[in-house]
Amino acid sequence: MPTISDEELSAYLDGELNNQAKKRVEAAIQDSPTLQRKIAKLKQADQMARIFFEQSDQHAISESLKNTIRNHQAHTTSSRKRNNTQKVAKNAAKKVVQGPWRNMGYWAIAASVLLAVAVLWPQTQTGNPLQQRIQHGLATLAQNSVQNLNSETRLEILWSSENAQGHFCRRYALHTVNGSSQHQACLVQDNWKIEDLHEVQTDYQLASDVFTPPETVLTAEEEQAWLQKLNR
Amino acid sequence: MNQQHQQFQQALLDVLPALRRYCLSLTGQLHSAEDLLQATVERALDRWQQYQPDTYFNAWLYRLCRNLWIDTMRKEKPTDSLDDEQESLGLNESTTDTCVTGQQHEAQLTLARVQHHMAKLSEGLRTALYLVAVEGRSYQEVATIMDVPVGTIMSRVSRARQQLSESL
Repeated sequence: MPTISDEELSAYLDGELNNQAKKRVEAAIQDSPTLQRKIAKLKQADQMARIFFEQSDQHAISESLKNTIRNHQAHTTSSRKRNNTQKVAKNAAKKVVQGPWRNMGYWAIAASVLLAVAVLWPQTQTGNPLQQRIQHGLATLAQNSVQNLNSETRLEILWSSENAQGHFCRRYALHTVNGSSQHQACLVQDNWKIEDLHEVQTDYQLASDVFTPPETVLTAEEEQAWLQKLNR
Repeated sequence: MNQQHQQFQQALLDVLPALRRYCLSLTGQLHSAEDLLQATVERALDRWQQYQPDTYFNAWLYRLCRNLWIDTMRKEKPTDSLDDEQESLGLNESTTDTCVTGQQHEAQLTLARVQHHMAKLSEGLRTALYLVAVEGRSYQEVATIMDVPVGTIMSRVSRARQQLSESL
């Protein structure tokens, strides 16, 4: 009798096995009362999960939460963003005119631009326009932000972390009509080192070290601090 | 712009029950799930302009929710006990209520037992089990939502079922 693993049995319940594996599991279940009992227990476990989650449906969603959504204004975010942008711009301008460069405002701006170009040059020169947009997104977007890179590709920042070497790393997904792929980029000496993680997969693979456990993920505030440092 | 905003509002309203269940899968407790739901909605509203009317909406929202939960976990470890949860559900009072029928009492005890065993699952196992066994999503979809390989989902769902079935 073929050996059927617990994972295979569970995947069989979810309809996640290919035809060949499915037939093998079905034949084994038919011949084995032990496997039949196991399957029944797994189904009971699912039933437990359903009971657990259905409890939340017994309470109505609060009207105040629904009203928060219904009364939300389309311009709320944009105006807040605009205000924030204006504030940042104003502060930046203040720094220039109030600092030692106040009599040389234009020169200061020009110098800043040159400096920015010098810093960003190695990053922006490392690829095509799409890669440049990705790198710009990596340096500016907060977690869960989504940005259209072009008509076909969308960038989503999933989370940020700090690796063992203390480098700022960002997990991101690229979405296209054909599916999604995930990548990790770590900022090493002002350059984003990009690693492809997993494409939309057709075969199963075991849990690997690509998964970043929650404790290594930066909080929104920690991430913000990194982004501010990057864009200072 | 207005039409897209309305679509976003409707999509968010529609997804609320599922989103609350997802919050429950992360927190393991109802009242903290409500708090997480509230925070997720606020953050989603704040970022509504990133809304794209396609299949990625739920996945985006779930990830946003999970990141918020990670933030919360990092800041303060939840200290609510199962007793608190039962209290919030009115279980402790109702089990002593003389008007409760035997059948209701049995149902409440079952729910309490289920809550106990579900709370013992780690967040990763509980979430994977919820998305697969309750929402009926494919391993691939769940892998995308949880940012892990498909094989990890396969193993988490199996372990979650295993742990629960051992408690039966």
